[in-house]
Amino acid sequence: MNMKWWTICLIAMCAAMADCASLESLWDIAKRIPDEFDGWRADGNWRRYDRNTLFQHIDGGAELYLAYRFREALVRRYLRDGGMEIAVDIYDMGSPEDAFGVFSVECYGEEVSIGQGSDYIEGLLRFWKGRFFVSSLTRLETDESKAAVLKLGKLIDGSITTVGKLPELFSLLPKDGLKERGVRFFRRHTILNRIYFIADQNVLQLGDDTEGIAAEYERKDGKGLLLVVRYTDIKRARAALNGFTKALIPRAKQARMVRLSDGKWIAVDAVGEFLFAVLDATTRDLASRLIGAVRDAVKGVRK
Amino acid sequence: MDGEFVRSKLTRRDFIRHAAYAALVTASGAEMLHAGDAGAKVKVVLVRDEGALDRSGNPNPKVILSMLDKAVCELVGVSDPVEAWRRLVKPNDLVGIKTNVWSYLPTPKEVEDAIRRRLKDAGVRDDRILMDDRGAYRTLANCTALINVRPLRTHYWAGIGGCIKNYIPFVPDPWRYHPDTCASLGHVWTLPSVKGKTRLNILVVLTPLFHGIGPHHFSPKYIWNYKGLMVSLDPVAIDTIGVRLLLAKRREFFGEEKPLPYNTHHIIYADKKYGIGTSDLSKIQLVKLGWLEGVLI
Repeated sequence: MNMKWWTICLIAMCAAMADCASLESLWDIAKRIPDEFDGWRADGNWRRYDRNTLFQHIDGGAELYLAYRFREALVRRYLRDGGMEIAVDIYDMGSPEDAFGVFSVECYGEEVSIGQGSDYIEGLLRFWKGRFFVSSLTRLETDESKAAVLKLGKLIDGSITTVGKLPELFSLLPKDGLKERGVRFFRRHTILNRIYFIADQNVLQLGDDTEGIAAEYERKDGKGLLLVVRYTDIKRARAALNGFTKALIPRAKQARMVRLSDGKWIAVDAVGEFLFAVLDATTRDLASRLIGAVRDAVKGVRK
Repeated sequence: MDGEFVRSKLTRRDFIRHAAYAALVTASGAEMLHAGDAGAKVKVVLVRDEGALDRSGNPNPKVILSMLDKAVCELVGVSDPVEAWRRLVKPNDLVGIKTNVWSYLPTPKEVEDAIRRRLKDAGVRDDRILMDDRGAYRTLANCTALINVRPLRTHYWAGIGGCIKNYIPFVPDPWRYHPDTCASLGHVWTLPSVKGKTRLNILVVLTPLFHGIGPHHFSPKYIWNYKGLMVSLDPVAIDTIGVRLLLAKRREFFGEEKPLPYNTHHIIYADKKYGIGTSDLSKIQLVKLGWLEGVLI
């Protein structure tokens, strides 16, 4: 008994040590970022925020990060003569999935090849790499300030030495018609509601331990949004299926695919611990094919 | 907290129905606001002045004071601004000015100064006038009268930053009010430190912010020189009008209906659940004073 106990402890300790070795801290990254570049200089030291204090930094906006596995953030400003300013925030999101998630929900600009995915619009650069998400903003966009924001972004990118994997749920998505920047990762219903409003209450039983992905499709047989959620157990997925049905298609009863009054289609199903749905499909064919493709993919994963 | 804020379910069908209603009132709101007997309606006064901002965009203190005077006189229904303020506060009140310090668009000092001046004119001693934003739960909780003042802007999580939301620093843990896109903000107004104390709500619309991209974004491209102040005794009514103004500007700027990307349902809940004012446009009387060019609403 004692031998078994010590063996378990030893394995746990080794795993923890290996994990620590692979963990790159925010401070490690911050130390590698220069205090000055191209005439811009840091305005003081990095300021740190955690889950309890982040709202002091971005009132209201903090909720986006708290809806993922955010751990801590370091922020500071870079200044240049003439009152020009760049505000930089680096977030440790706890996992690459969560870094991608927080990045994915607000993409409106152009990919600028920084980090593992980036977005630039009107002075605001956002990118993710490994388990880190970075935001960099110049409030007054000029050619010069834009170049500086991108340069600083590349410096931070180079300071992050680890990369991460996209959420596993990506592997379940049919490739045909998947919009390149139309995939978003979420955990909580507050984020899902920003992507597609389901209900103000958490009828899909989402939480920090769930993984969800919403993917936009546009192809010959129509347009629509595919939703895939993985739960921790089958019971919860079944409860979510019931909640979804009651909230969106209460008169559907046993039917898993219905046409709404606006002519669009909704389809929903659950297999094991997975729930998947097609929302606002413009044709029945699209709804049917997407739901069928995901069902097959999920069954393949669960074998 | 969750148990405290349980609401009836709002489903997608309700949401779409509400959105359709919002679009309808946005389109026809002007007629609804001014039609019929205004006797039982809640008053929101909008005053604008072309000279409110100088060429650099800084508020003109004299014009700001004059605008505030006109608005408050109209709201209270008297011609003398000092008398109007005397009806809002008493000399023995401990008055808290709940301002807003958001770095990109704070409450202008000129507006704060105008309020402070009129409070003193009304007999409140300088040492009985306090002002704060983020420390309000400590510094303003014991006030007997509150003046609520902040600029109007879009807000990443709450949809808009308006008068209702401005009171969130009256709690030490504002993040508890953030779930469901700040649906429960109206609850703050029912707390003992706040309840029944607000004598005036001022929504600064000198340079409102009508668009933003994500929680970090700010661009001067999305503010405009509207050169106005709004006042009301009702925080819900004034925010309801604020939403209409932002929607109207977005329609003008983007050339199409452009709903706020973020849910403003905390305004509806403030009315229907917490009962702190009215969000029903048909029960709001908008009084417009001064410069009308580009008024939008």
